[in-house]
Amino acid sequence: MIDVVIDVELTRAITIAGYIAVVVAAIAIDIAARRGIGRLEPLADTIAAAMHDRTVRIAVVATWWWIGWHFLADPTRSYGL
Amino acid sequence: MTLTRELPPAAVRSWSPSALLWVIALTIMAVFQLWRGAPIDGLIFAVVAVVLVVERAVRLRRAASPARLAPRTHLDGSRRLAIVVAVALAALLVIVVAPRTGPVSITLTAGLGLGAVALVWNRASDTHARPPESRRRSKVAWASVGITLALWEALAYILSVAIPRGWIGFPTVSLLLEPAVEFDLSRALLTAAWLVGGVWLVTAAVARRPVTRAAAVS
Repeated sequence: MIDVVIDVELTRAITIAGYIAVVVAAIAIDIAARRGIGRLEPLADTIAAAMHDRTVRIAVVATWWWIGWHFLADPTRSYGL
Repeated sequence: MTLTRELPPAAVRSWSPSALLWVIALTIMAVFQLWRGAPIDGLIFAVVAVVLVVERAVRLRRAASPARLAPRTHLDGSRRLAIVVAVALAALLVIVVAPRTGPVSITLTAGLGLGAVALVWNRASDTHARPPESRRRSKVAWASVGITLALWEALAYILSVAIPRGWIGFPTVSLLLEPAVEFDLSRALLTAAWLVGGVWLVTAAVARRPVTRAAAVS
């Protein structure tokens, strides 16, 4: 444990602002892609295209699944595992 | 159910950058979960990473062998969608009613994961066409967004356990969403959103043929 004095309210706001900034950036990129700006493709198109490769396909599905597992099952919380 | 004949699992010529990065990401997740004291989660990521490496290595070896036709059964698109949606709705009901993080939730969620992997293991329209430049740029852009989020979350977690009252000053996404997941109605909405994503992945996304925006417009 690091022994420092910090303003936890300030760092909390900065931390949450970071999450919001990433989400806003993702939405902005997706909107731009759908309007043909920047020669990018929307997230859904990019994921669908990447799934032609089985390694990526299984990795994407496993990542999606783990999010639900983490919040809904999470044996770490119930059993310390 | 229809009986079809198709090529055996798609052959690969090498490790693509995307496949390699995904395996590295899964390995990092395994190490991180073990470090944070979640051995089951660490084991899950490690197993997935090892399975993907072994499976691809086997396919790389088979790529040198002559292709052979193998009989295989699979559901057509509409029946597959109907069954997947029905299972998702039933799962939503059980997850909302059952105690969170209890044996029922754990068993059901594990079953959903295994079922989803089984559904996407093979895909009828594998293609190895060279992707357009816009797709490569898009992969880089979206990967950057995902990696940024993961790094920010990891940094928050490390600081939350390293600094006194860090769990207040550096909340992780899990901690921020905890109240919503604890409350029945919002947990139902979040679970529904998660299941919709899963249904899309195992039906629409896996069946969609790659098209470029430019091609779709013209």
